Amino acid sequence: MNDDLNHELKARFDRELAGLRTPATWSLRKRRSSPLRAAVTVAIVAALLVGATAGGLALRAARESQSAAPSAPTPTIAPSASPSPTRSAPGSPTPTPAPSPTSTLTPAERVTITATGTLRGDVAWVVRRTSVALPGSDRPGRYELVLVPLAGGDPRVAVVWELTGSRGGTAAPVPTARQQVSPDGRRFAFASESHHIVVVDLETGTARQITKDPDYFDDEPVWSEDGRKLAFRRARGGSDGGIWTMNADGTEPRRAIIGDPLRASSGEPVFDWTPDGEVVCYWELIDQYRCVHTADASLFTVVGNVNGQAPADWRTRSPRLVSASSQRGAGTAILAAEEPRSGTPPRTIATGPASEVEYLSPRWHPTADEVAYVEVRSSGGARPGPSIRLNVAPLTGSPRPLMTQGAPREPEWSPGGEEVLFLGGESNTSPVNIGLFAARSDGGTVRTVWLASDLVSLATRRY
Amino acid sequence: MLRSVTEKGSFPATVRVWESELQEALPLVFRGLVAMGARPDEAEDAAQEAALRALGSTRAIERIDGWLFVVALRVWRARRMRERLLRPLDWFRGSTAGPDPVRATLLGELAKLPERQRQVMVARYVVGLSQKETAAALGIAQGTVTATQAQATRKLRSRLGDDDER
Repeated sequence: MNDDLNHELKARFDRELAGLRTPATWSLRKRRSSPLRAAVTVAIVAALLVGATAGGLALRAARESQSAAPSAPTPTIAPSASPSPTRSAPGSPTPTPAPSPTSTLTPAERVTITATGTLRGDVAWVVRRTSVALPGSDRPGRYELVLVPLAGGDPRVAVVWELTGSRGGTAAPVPTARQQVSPDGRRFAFASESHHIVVVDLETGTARQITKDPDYFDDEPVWSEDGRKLAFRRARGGSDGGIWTMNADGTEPRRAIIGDPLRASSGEPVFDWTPDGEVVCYWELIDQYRCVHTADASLFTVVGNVNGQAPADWRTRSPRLVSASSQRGAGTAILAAEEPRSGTPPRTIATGPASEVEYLSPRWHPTADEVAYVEVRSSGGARPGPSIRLNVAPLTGSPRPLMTQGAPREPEWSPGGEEVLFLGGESNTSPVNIGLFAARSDGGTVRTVWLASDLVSLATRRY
Repeated sequence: MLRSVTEKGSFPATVRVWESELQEALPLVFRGLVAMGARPDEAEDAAQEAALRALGSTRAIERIDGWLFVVALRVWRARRMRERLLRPLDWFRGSTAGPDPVRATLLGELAKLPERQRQVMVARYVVGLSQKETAAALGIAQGTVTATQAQATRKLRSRLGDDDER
């Protein structure tokens, strides 16, 4: 593209600018007024007052000075300083910095909450990572929980929290909206800067830190189906790890699973509650999907001899469990539904060679016997890179594709089951198209819900 | 607007500026401003101001580095003009800073070029825009970019005593 450049000139430009010290970080904080700038401002105001002949020039400079004048702290470099979808005018309210009067959080927790007020209708809750903590930089990782009305309306930021160090970096576990927004949609649990679990009442904006033991690092809270309990990952300086459970107010913590279940290679969580709220299930290091009764800590294996890690999804109606796995030895990837410990064989929904296909993120339809899932198929054809599809499959019958472009991920059914919401898009187009989309479950059409970058997880709720 | 799932490129157009694109563009814009004659602190200020404006923009920004470069240039020039109000003697002398040894060579000769030629050369050689992107950023025809670049290149090579012809 730049073949017409003179090589010698290019080399000379590079040489003469080589010694230039480029700023290491771009914080985008408005600089405090330098004495020169303050003096310029005063001079301009003076010139205006005495009606100088250069008043025309001074007037223009004054306008520009006002626009460039230091003001309240501005956001760090992040596209979501004030999330504004393209389909409506910008100006979504930004979070006010003060915690509510009944909050137990301190400023050191680096949390900002904006109460949503009474919630209504069908919404998507989206977690967005607007900033990543980079090694050697003092910039924290920054997350937002955003409310996106599915019927239209401006997205609103409800919770902002920052994590420094490696917890704010790219290797940290991604907050999962579907597990961290309570089933009734009114509370949000997350791990704060101090390594404790915080629960936010989204409608009132109040927040409580519910784990307090300074000897432990707590993370990855997961609500039970009835909203009365939380499972979470607890660690003590790298040892004494495990999955614990507690009441939603932080009382009665107890360890359910000894050891630290691996995180899925896809980044999705690997432990979850069953609908009855009595069992926590997880993928274990030795390639099994196991469940633990929280009452008596008894264990049972749901899916054995599997090779790979993938989340599963539970529902209340039999067959209750859908899971994706790769059968070791057979080299087969399987998406199957089953009723654990019933003696009934699993019902295969989709299958393929493990060397060619992987199934991710299975999600039960809210009422019907259908599953939405992501299929990743390695490319063997002319087009480079894997083929990623969002499919819907009935328990009996063939799957149908809903989206075949833009790497769809994190599928979630709309509360009524008419659509499948997903994150995705294409970053190599101009303009870039990335965000939250909704596909009709009959495979008809895809609509844009919210165009925004850096979306990492999704949940849907009905109020 | 509903679109068919089978439509190619079925995502509607949008306007966003990504953090990663800004991170990549800002150092180039910073260097471009210095090449245009800004002090490093002026260049940093102007580049950051331009990035802030990009984040708040609701208009389509197709090529962020070109957009940032042009906006940062405007910001820098506006601030320099305000400084000249405070330092009229320096303004009459033609500079607001002491002699810079860096500008005795290529950058020094670049500073002597007409403004448009300087902009084109910096956009192409420092910011790294193509001819088409330079034309779009500066609001001129691509043919004008070609001609302006050729003129500026001849002048610089002549003044710097380059022997090789391209």
